[in-house]
Amino acid sequence: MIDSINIALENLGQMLLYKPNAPMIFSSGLFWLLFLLFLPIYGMLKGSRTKMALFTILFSLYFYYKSSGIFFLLLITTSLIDWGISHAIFRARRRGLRLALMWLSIGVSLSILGYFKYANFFLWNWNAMVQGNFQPLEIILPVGISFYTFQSISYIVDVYKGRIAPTRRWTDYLFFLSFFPALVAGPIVRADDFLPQLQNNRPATRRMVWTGFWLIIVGLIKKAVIADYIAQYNDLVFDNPMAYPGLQSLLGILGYTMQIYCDFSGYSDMAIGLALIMGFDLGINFDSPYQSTNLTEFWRRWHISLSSWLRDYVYIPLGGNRKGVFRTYLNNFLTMLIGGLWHGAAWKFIFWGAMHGVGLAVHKMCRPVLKKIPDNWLTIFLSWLLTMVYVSLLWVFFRAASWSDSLLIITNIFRDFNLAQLPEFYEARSLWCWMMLALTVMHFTPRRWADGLCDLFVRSPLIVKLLAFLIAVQMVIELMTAEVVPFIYFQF
Amino acid sequence: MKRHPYIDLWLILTLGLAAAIGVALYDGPLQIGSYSVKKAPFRESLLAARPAQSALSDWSDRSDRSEQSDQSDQSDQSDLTDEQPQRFLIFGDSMTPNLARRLADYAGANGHIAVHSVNWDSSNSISWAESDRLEEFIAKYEPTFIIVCLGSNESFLRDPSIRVDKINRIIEKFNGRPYLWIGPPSFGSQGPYNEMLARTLGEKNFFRSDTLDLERGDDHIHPIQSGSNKWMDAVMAWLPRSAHPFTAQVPAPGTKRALITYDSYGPPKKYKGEPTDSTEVTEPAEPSEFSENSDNSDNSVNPEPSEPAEIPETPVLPDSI
Repeated sequence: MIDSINIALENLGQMLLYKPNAPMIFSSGLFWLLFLLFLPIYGMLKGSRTKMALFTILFSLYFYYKSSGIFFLLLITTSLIDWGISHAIFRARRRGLRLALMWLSIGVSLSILGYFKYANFFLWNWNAMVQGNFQPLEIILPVGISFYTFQSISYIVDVYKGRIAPTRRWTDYLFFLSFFPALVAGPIVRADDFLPQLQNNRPATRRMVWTGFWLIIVGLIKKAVIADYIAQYNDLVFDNPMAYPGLQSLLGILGYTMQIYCDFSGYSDMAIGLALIMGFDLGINFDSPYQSTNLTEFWRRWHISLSSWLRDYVYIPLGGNRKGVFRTYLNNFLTMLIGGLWHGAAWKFIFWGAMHGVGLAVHKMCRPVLKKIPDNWLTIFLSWLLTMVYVSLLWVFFRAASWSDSLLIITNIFRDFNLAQLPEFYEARSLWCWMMLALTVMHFTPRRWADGLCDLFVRSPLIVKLLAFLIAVQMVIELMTAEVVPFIYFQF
Repeated sequence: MKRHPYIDLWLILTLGLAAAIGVALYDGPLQIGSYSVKKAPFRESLLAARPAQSALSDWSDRSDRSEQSDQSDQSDQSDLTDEQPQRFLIFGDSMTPNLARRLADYAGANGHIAVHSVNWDSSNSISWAESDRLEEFIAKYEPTFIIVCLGSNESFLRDPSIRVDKINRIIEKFNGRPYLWIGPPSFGSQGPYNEMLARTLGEKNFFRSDTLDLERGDDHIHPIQSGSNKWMDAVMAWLPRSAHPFTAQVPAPGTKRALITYDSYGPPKKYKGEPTDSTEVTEPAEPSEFSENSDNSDNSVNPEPSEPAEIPETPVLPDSI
């Protein structure tokens, strides 16, 4: 017995240390055990903004240490540089100096991001061009660096533009940058939304707490039950595309289309839910994106915090739609190209972004013609189908290991498609099929129904909430994976 | 005065997590009707040292052999080589027959008695643990050494620990006979299945195959005969480091193959169900006593079954092997 206790304590101690391949994510038991300790202390300190902020920063830095080790120091350093420069911008009288300071801060942020995320990619391409011998640098990518870099840039730009004043205290800025619910995989929090909430420090209302809890349960099911389960089949198709004929390849593509949505939106739900419980409203990050009937609408519904960031800090500064039709298309294309590169240092992400850029430009180009087509169920359905096909096919390039794998999976559909294999597929993977069907139905459920269900949960007795939580936890355990499967967007 | 919602939330979270931990720490299975409640891996995470020990202790007589083998790591492995002629039973999924054929080459070259190959297409550890097929063939062939070729149909599992019980159940069926488990070859990215096998079986009873580059057939899954030959050659080269090495010199070209029999079954429809079809191809009657000059081992008298008979029909799904 004593031996077992010693082993348990030793293992628990080990679990609390940084392990490169074991980041702390919201669907892990360890996170919830720590959150149980965090919540009452946070509740007690909430009355004092300073104490609450310091305590949350410590927890956030530990959270980041658990996922990225020593790089939590990089986060602190970045926040110090940003905060210092933001004050220098605020105090500077001359516009030129202010502009130079803004670019200095953006340059520092992008240099850090560029080194950690893109150095090997650029070196590899450079060596390919000059036919050199490429030796990759041993660089570990700090988790969530893409997210907090974008947050830092938006803060500096907003200070420069005079939309917000720099935070009086460095700790307020560090709180914003390191806020653990959104730290490692977003949503990308905007300083002008978030900092006023920190200044006000309003306690979380009963409604916020239970809405947050509802979002956590929904997110947990989306991520740890559905996405992780359907991923098992999708991975088989994408990892060995030559072995899968048409029908199986098509189902793999549809599976991945749903998987990436559940994975990322599930994470976002949990992050937004945790923030709500803590009294912070981060808005929504996904709004049933696969209901979209065109690509422009898709990007208004998919990863809203990123697409709105790209609109405000890339597309509009590039000139938006103010510089003529051609520049509008070009700006759309360039914005999505940057969006693609943001997702990862690989040509496949650049291609994925570029093709979304092309799609957006084409949609804008065709809009005058499309407006003349009357809206009826057939045209709406065809628009939706075209959008879904385009988005799903581009996900293949996003997911597959190589260009040739992507083409192989897509051509497989047309080469040996046999619908007669469907019953056999269903027999072998019935749960996968049922999950996909349920997901599709849920995705197309009107928003007010989902809101109604949330309302019902918020008003329900505690015992119902407990039961819902127990069922969700047991569902996770029933379908859980031995390895923690990081969120798809984790390293972006 | 209303309670702060954090108190209610904290209570719910505490009760929920306490329930999950309580179930995980509860000894024995937890049933709700016919449904077996799955447990969170808290016990494994917290008491990580225990499962490996218990898995080893479950092996009773086998563990002695493993320990003996462990202790002699640094001694000359040839001292441990069992020089007795062996009667092999090699069983598993559809990759088995090709491996069996190469094993028969080794058996012929090293004076072993016979190789009995039993393949059950698309089978996995559940198929063999929950059916009595294995007991049937052990009773029928009375092997002195068992080789398992299983795992390809479940190597994608992200939680392979759910199969530890099944694997232990299969090992129990050997009744202490020496064995060797050949792990699945690589299928692109794989989960921690091989690690689970190594942990459950012990490194000396498990040959890890996922690092081998094997020549595959049109389905890009099954190794063709030359790929399987290379695979078995790698197993035999590793054999001196295994728990129970037997004589396995590389067969010279033209060496006569040992007696080989094939039993072949179609894909299991359900885990607990019986297979729908079975084909048995028996080569010459097993010799009562092996003799180096015995003609019984000459497979030219009894040609091998044709490829379609040995290599089962195309699986229902490409990931069924």
